[in-house]
Amino acid sequence: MKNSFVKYFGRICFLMVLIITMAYLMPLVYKLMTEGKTNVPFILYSPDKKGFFVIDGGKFLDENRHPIAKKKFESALPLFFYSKLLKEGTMPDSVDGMAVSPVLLNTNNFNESIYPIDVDIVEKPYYLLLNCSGVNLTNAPDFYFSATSSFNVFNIKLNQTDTLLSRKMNMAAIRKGFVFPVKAVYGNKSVKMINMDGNFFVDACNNFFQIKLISDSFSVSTFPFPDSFFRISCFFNFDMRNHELLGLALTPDNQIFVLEHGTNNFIKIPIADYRPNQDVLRFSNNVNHRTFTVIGDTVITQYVYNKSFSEIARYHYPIKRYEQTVAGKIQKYVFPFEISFSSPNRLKVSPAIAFNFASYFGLNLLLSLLYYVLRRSSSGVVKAAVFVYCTGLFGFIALLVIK
Amino acid sequence: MLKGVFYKEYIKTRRTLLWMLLVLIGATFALFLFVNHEIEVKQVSFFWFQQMVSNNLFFVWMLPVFPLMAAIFGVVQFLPETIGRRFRLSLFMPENELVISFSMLGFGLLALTLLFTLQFVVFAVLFSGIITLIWLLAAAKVFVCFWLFSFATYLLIVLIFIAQKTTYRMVLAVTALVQSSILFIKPQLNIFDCLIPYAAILVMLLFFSTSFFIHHYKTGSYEL
Amino acid sequence: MAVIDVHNLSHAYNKKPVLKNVCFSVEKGRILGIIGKNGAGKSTTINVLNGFLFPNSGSVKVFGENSNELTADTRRRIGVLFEGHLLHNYMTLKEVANYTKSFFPQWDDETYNKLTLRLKLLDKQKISTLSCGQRSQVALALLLAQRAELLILDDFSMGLDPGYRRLFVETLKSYVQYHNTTVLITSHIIQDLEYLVDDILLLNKGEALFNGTLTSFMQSIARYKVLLVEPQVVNPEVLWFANDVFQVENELFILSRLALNELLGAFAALNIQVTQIKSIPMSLEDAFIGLTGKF
Repeated sequence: MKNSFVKYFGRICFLMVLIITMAYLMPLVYKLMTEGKTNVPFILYSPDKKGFFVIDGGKFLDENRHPIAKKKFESALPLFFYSKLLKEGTMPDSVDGMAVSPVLLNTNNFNESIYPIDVDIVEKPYYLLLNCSGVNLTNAPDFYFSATSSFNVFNIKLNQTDTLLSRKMNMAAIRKGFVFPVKAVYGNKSVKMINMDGNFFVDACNNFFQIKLISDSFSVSTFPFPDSFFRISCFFNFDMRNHELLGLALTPDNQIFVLEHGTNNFIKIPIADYRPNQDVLRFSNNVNHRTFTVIGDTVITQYVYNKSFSEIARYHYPIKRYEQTVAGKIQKYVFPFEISFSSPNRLKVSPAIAFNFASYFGLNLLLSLLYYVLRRSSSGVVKAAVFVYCTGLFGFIALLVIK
Repeated sequence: MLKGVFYKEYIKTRRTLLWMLLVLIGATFALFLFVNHEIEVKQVSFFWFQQMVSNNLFFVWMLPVFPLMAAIFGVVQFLPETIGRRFRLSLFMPENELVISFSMLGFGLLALTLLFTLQFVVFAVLFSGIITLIWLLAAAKVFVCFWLFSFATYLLIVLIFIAQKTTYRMVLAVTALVQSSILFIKPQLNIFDCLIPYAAILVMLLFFSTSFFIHHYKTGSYEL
Repeated sequence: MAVIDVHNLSHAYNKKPVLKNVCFSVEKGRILGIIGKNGAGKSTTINVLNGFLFPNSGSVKVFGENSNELTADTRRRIGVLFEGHLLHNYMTLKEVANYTKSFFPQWDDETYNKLTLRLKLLDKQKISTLSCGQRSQVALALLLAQRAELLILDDFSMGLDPGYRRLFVETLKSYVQYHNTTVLITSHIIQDLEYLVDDILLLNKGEALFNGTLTSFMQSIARYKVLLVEPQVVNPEVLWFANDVFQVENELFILSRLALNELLGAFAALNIQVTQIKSIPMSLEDAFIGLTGKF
């Protein structure tokens, strides 16, 4: 090992450390300084008025983005503001020709949001095994299970594996054609103590199963796929009080399907522009319609369907993300790349790198030339200038620090 | 040669190593007593529910101890080298100066690994009656991630001592703060897995950065 | 082949030159003393020799190798005493010996024990608890026990009282003579060097004023007592041939490179009447001050 090589290598290593640190810190500080508070607009559909209404930054707007009075806004959306309207005594008896009551609305109103973090399923050592006999647990549950090459039920009260329950679970699964090892486990996102649906599994043959513990025995259900190419990449079990839908499934090609309760059928939702790893998907259920809202980078799209999933209306609401503001655009030109470890909506600690290629045609070139002019008399200046071009502002600062 | 360097580093750090071990094991025992008390009050089911579902890890509070210990160890190992520029004495020993400095760092990393491993063994033994092996292995990943970041902290502290320029020292101090801050984004089980390769790369880069500072130490930083 | 060979060594700190084209060499078995005032470039020379400083220009070879690329085998042949008897203070006497021993296969336990035993110290005693004098003896013991072929000693007399200084010099001298070791030494106490060195390198403001044997150095300048005919104040600046002038009434004490008869002529040329010029004994320190001045 040549000394000179090691010293050169050491210099490169130190440069890399500085660049990594700057690529994380500088865009973060810049964003914190320039980013104002941004609330995602909230879109609601009024079956009564056959139109959309928006709450954007505390302002109440109609679908043409004209401001309207709060009272008018609330009265246009009785299914959403029913408790307030009831208090005020202005709640209508019927909406869109359908008689409504507080109990009916309460049972049918359901909202669930799916964030990119939810799609990124993390394997856990143990999963909660709740009894689905309908008993409301007052204490924390006693059973957990691990799902690998078999199911292993663990009783924490006794601090040991419950061999009997494990065997029962494995036998029940195998009897219904479950093939180990387990590929994925899905449960209820909110992890409520009352759980009627149990857990959902994808087995080694990509088949989909539901396994429920009822009293001390297991009930296993399988679900027919719409076609032989159908695969599930993610499943979200709903906790709907009206038991209409079991949950929502995503396929590897980002198609959305809902799983109907009772029929056990997967129904395709014709939404083509949803990107699970970037967008937020909001599902809401009402007494007479269902909406899917895809919150993208530049636009929020709301799709309204009736109970049989036929589209009633669709609405696009353009939004200005940080990236589209002046500060956001400057950021793209200043920092050639950014390293991030977490983001406000992706509650995840994971290093990710994003390149801003715009800077390679502007600032990087300028800095590279500036470096060449500043250090033209020193040896290896061309190599260093190329390095500055590749690493932009970070490399420029790092090289100035390390002479 | 390696024997000589390790002997010197051992003499310098033996007391620190001993009290660090005592503090780590003491903290683990304190954690054990606290968890037992929690289980008595809230029942074991609730404790498990917290660990499994709420991701409210019971050992989270003791994780900052690792980078702190690593930083202290770096100070104890390299402060005596800085006083009166004794590092020249170490470097002039008949061996390649990079081999000498890498061996000194190697000792530090080895000692910290040993210390942290002993702590984890005590942790595993004490908590074997409460948590299962599968869960312990998942927890080990969180520990390993913190260990790696602790090594990075140690190396940054060492570089601050070796660096001869105030600018370098400031840059290294900021780097140490920034890199440590990454650890406290959200300390939960499983979500640190993906940080392990990052931390490992950081440790490797910092380890080899030493050669740049040694080179700088020799080439002109020595002032009369 | 010379043990140390320095050719056209130049170095500057922030463009301020500290060494200007310095050339010297040390042959095997010779003791070279580098003398010079503060800031003359002694420590810089030592740092370059140890490989702790890359010189701006010139070649510095130790045992035929570039000083900044010394191999481990060559370093094993060199013993270095850093300024202020730098030692690992947190070690005990025994530990520091064990540590150093592991790097030097030719380590001589007997020499180390002999030198440290006379200090009547315990093996368990930490170096940080020793006095400056005791520390200097431990440093010397470590150095000599290495059985090095070349010793480089940077300002060994720093902080030592006359007793310890004498002890250091005597121990070193007897060892060096017995083992035919090459030594390069610097010190601010020039009288110690007079007893020790064979050759002298005189540095002044980064330049080598003299490089030769101690005898030729002492012969290159002489101290004279000049008796003036009548008491008169002589302006030292007119005495171009005198390096150091000190006057007491009608007696002038000067240091000059001129011979006695040349000096008589020089005084006559300046129209200064003298009754007698006498050569008087001179120390190395006198010669040093004579050549470099007091400040």
